[in-house]
Amino acid sequence: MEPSALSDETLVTQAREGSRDAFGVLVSRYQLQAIMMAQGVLRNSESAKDASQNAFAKAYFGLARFRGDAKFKTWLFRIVLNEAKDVYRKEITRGLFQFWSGREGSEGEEESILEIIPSSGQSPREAFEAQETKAQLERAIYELPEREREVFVLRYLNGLALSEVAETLGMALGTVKAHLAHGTVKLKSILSASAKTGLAGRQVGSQMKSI
Amino acid sequence: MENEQLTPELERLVNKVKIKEPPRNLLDGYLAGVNAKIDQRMKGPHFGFPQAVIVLVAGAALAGALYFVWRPMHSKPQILPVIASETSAQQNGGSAVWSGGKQSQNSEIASASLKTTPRNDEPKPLPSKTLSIEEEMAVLEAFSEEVTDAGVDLLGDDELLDELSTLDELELSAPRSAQPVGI
Repeated sequence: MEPSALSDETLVTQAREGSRDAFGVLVSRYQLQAIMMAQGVLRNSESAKDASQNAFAKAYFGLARFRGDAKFKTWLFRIVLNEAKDVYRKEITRGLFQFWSGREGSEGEEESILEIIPSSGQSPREAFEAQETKAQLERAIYELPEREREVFVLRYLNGLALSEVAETLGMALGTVKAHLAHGTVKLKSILSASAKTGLAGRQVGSQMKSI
Repeated sequence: MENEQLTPELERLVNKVKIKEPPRNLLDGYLAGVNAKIDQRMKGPHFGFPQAVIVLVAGAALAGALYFVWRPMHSKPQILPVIASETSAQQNGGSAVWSGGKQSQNSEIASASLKTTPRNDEPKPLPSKTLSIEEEMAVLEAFSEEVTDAGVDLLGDDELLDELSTLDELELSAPRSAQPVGI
């Protein structure tokens, strides 16, 4: 049987016995999702790649402790998120140090983590509005508190089920639902406020044109 | 995807976007990078000669700093000024002033007493102003006491000078009728 066709549990068992090839299959299977998950925290693809690779290395050495009561995927994603948060905190500290010492930061710039789902027959105006919508949504997501943002991104942007979100974050299912509800309400109010500002801006712009 | 929590507007927005995939070239050599990190962790942290030197120097510096901080906190004068200790011992009825322990205090008083008062039955010296040599000579002359050669030699001895001045004080403070014969 092809290794790529084996289940996660079988591959984990083989990797525990020392098979680096089996672990390699697991890496190939989840590398993209791991990078995208780290990208949601770090907002930089290079940093996300490095953090996710470190997470895979930690997962390899932690296989002996993996009890199998959770899915390997959610267990791995928890390690990736924790590693990304550690990197983020270190970068914040380093950035503060560089700010105080007057040095320029040399880390990569923040990137957008979202992209528009292409649709056929889109006019240039619609494409422009879609870009603006994407930017507004991304700004609003990053204004949410950390926990609510994590739950929202994992659920609606990474496509995890509620139970998977709960396992990844180590929360109860009810807590996940509560965070999701609060996050959604806050997101709506942030987007409404920014839409009003945008509307006011467009009104000012149209007034300026008429002068 | 179940969007049971989203409002229609939010659902519309969320359905228009997705998480951006990283550039494809970022995935090149990804597995090799993971294996390299695993191998690096297997080798363990590198602890060579420079690191050992740094640890030793840092440890010595810390030990030295701790010693200099600890030393003044725990050192206190062991030997007390003799007069002060005697006076305070008399005032407190022989009780210890320092917290260094009554045993050492009393032993110090005892040894100090032996040094300054050879005989215990003599009256204890009263606090008195120490006379200069010239003043003492004047007192002795006033009482027409001859200073023997031996006495002259002993005039340089501070302890004896103290005794002489004390005796003189006693004589001077005595009633007139008790003045010594020979004046």
